[in-house]
Amino acid sequence: MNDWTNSANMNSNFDFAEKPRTPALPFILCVLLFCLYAPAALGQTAELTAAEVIEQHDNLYDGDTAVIDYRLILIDRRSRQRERNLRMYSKDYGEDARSLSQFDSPADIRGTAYLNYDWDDPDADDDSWLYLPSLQRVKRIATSDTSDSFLGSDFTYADINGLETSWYDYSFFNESEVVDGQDCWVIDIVAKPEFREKAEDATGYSRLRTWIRKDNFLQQRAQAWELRGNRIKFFNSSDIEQIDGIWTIKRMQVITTRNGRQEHASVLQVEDVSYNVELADELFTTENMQRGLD
Amino acid sequence: MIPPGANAQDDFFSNLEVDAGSRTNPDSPFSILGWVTQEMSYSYEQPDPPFSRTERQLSQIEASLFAQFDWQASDTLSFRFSGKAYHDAIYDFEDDTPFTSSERDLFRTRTEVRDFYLEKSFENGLYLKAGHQIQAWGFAEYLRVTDLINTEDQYTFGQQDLEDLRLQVPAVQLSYSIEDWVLDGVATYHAGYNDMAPDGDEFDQFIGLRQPDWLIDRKDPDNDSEIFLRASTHYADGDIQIVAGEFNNNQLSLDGISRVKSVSPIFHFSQERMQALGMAANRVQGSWLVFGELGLHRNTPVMPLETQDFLRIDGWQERNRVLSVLGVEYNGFTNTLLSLEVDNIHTRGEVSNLGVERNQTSFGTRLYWTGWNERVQLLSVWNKLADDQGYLTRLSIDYDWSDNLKFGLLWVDYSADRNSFYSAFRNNDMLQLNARFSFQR
Repeated sequence: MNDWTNSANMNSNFDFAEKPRTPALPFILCVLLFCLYAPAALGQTAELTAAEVIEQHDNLYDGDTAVIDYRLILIDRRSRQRERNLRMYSKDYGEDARSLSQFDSPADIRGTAYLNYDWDDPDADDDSWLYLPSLQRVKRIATSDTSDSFLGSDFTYADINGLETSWYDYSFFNESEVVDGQDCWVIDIVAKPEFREKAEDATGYSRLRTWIRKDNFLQQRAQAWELRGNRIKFFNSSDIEQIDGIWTIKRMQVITTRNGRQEHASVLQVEDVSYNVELADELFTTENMQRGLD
Repeated sequence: MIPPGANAQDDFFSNLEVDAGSRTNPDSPFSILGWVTQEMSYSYEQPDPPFSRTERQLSQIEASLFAQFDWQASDTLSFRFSGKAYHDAIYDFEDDTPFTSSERDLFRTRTEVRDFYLEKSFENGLYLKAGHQIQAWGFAEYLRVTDLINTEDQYTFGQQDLEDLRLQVPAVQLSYSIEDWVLDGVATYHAGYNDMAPDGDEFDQFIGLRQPDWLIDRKDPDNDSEIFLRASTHYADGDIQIVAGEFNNNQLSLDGISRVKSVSPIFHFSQERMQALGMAANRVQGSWLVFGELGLHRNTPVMPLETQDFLRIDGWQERNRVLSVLGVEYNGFTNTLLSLEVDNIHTRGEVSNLGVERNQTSFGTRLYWTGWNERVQLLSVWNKLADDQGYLTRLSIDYDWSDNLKFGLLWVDYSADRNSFYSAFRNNDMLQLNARFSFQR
């Protein structure tokens, strides 16, 4: 949960959590199905449990392949901004997925590449490699502590990858709240006692609250309470649109606060996105990471 | 939109203003990037003569410019060119400066061609990379068991930047994939040997031979060509590489001494021809990465004991050696990466008349930590050299003022007792301030 990437299609790139994937359907069929089922779905939304809402959110279709250009802006407490630009390729292989991220700027990380094989088997660790242009060497890396910061931003790897939904209990804090003109469920997320330690280690959070839109099951905003330092993080989505039939959040923001004051903030913007394009398997290899060829 | 810094609860969900940014076009066929670096070093120990510097003093005021140009000519063809230029102003001062003419000639102003190659992929799956390039193989950090191709920058031990550790060599690489395996073949020509500090410099490896009228001769190898082969694959949670090569040792060794009884003997150095066969593997388990290498190096030159003068006249002895590495990395602590590597060199055959132990064990540790949303990076390295030859400690702290501007502090400490081969360098401890401005289009 708290899966920003499900909406912005990074889910298929760094997906540590086990996520069932819907099969690919032609765009027109998706529209037809929506037209057929939307009234029923809308009529049924009031009957969904909090867990069912989360499951619907988790199962959103994000394309079988994607090429996304991201702009990540880091803002410190003095409003100084730093920026990272990267291009992410992703491809589904049945229930598994592979992704390649190539960093474009700033200059001293240009050419850095991160390759990830995400296995559906929950007992199988991801395979991850990092290419460092300064060493001109590909290096296998162990799974990062998922509560670590992603590229120095306020997003953690857990925020980017999504959570293991089976570890948590879900309850409605509010069954209807209008946010930015959208009616949302407000759901509290707390780890189950038997998974609490694992969940806290993986996320660094003691609890979360999420606002899920009733029209498309996208996450509109969220709040996360960190275990340490009296910090709370505020997540917000905006600039949401359908691209190639796939709901896409084009702007995601997180503000980290401490004792009620903003400490740091990050904005992840989608600059360009293409879904279901042809991507060669050779793209997702360690050899390709080192090469300057497309 | 509201400016950052507001306190109200609801404000934290409101959109922040961000700069428009100056994003490069990732689809552009051309790109250029680089950086300008200024380094200022103070050496706070006093080397003994005959090193040129024998006082505590400012030892470096070096500015450098690195630039890299890439051209993606098509989906299957690309070119890269990069180079670096240096100017060390410390050699501009004429008064009371101890530096030798060799140091001034080499270090005051120099330029280097770094990468200069083309890459081409073919429809049949073959990949070609030809030109001046780096080929970094294996997984070990400190002992080169399977990482045999590139020469090294040994102008300053332990002080180089990461991108300066390996030096490009003229080479041709051909690669081909069969099932899950990738086969690489690399041939080099005129690759040369490690860059070594000049006469009188504080890292001069020939300092013990800098006697009046003593001559040092460096011979070209008999065979300037080298060949390396590699087969590599991935398995569940790990990678394997198998490497073989026939090559010239990148480190010069004594080939013999002529005119021994004269006042001007000649010390002949050359690159020994060697063969190697080795394997590297790694495996991930959770937050742990374990890696190892094992290799056989044939005809490695080994220095005789100091008392074995008659052996030294004929040059160093050749021995077969078994090299092994075992290391771990752990990244379970927030924003922290820890690593430990233990290396061993086992020399086969007769060793009683050699200047090394049968087994030489060394180890290195590294800690990398980032903080304040990666504005601050701390890197700590500690190496214990084999045979109690000494220690090297390195600590660097870097601060990202902005995306383009970075400031850093570097400290390097060398420890060795007077009986150690490295004792000559034990007084090269230094403290450095540096700044880097990077650019790209």
